Amino acid sequence: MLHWIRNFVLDPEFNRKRKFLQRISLFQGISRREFGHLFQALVIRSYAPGEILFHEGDVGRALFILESGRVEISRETAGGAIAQLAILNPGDYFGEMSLLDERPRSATAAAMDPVRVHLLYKTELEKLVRHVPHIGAAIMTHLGMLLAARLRSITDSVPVSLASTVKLKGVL
Amino acid sequence: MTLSGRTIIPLFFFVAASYFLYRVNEVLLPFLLAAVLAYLFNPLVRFFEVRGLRRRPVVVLLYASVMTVITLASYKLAWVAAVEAEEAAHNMPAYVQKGGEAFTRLRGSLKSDWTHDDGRPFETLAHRLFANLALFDYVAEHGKTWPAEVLSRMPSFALGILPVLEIAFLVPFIGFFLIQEGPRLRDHVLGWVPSRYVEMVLGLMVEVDNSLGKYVRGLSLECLCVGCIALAGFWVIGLDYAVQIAVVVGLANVVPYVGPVMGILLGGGVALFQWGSALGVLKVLLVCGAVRFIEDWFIQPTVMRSSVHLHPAIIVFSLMSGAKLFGFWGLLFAVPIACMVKVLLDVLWPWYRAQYGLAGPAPLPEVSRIPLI
Repeated sequence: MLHWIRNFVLDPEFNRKRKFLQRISLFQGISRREFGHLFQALVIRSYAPGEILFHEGDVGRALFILESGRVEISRETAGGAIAQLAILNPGDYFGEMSLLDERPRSATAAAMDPVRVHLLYKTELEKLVRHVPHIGAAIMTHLGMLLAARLRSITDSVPVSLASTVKLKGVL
Repeated sequence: MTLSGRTIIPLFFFVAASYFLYRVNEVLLPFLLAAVLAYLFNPLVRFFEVRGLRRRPVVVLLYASVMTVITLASYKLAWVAAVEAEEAAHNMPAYVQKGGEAFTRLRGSLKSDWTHDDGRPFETLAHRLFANLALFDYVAEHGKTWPAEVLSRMPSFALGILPVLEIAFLVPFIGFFLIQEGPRLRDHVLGWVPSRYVEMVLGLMVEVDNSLGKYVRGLSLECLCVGCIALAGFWVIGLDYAVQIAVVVGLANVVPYVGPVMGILLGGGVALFQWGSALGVLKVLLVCGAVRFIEDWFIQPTVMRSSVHLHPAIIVFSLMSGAKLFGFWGLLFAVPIACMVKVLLDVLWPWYRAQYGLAGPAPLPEVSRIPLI
């Protein structure tokens, strides 16, 4: 009887989503009890194989978290050819720069399989920052760490003599 | 930008759907009210949902609780209304007599002042104008029969509110499904949107949802506060039927600026019949003025803090347009629709400019010249 009531009242989808999102680095530091607020901010969307999630140059405003399927990230080269940059697997997330600025996407994302993603829209993140600051701060900290890591990796790859002559402003 | 089949077909469906909705606008009312109900319930459902509870049992339990409270409240209200009606019927002759006397006194004082001229042109003109006005004679002559006429028209009025009762049953019914579906409805709609426009449509949905939700919940809270303050004020001055008038003031406040005006009209009328003097009307005026002041300076800045801000001229324009197009219901929904249009413009225009190259991307913030360390 207790088991039946538990199944009737508690949402099994809630636990499944929590287990999935807990694995993602962006949401590390968010407690089990707080995940409910995060679910409210996420929107689920499915894509068919070959469907474009966003095009290079489109103005982006959302972060994509890949739950199932694979996504190809590609970019058009100066010669007009398509260069594959990465293949993303379940648990990866992309488009995070749009949560910070609303600039055009720097690459195209296309579904390789039937894909299911969670979208976190910029305004929803802002709402989290205002109303559940602990979650907002955790996400922003991870975004900051991710950007710092990328910046360091680019800086390390540029020779010191070149870095001093090349205007880094606006490039990184 | 060229119009291809891929653009024209969705555009055609959008125009056709808009025309269809315009044609059936009278049917939309219960759906709009159900959406309002859903916005009011949503924070409650959300409170339980974020704790891992299923949406459906939460909605069913909340609905059952609220319906029980409403049924009990309606029963109590009907009982109070019956007692008040009996009391009103008993007090009516005294009320009518007092009101009649007040009018006769006022008319007499004005007529006796017909020759009044103290050298102040405006005062003299006002006295002469009002002394000649046939309105006072008409009110004094026919006013005594108005309360009886109103009571005799009650049965036809009761028949007139039948459509309201129909809506009262339909709205919770539709609202139940809207609340129960909740975010799934949003995900379904998003599933139909072409992938390229997902982010833009999601942006629209989030912004409209935020602003409408805040507006509906803020307005409901504001109406409740205004009704309570008006009730306190009417109780302090000892006005009869304070509860009923305060309820009307609170409900009428749904349309901006109308609540206190209704308070002045109804409260002033009751005060005139109750006390038979202009002093009573003045007390009601003071209470309603205070209500308006508190609403403007304390309630609105707190309750509607994060809602969409519209210029008063835009509010008046939207109210007049709503009333012209759809009558009373247009008046009621004019402001939320104006909020929605503002949000649509705020989201769509920058997107359109960026998408079609009318504006370049926002400039990057100034990067510090301090090297990375």
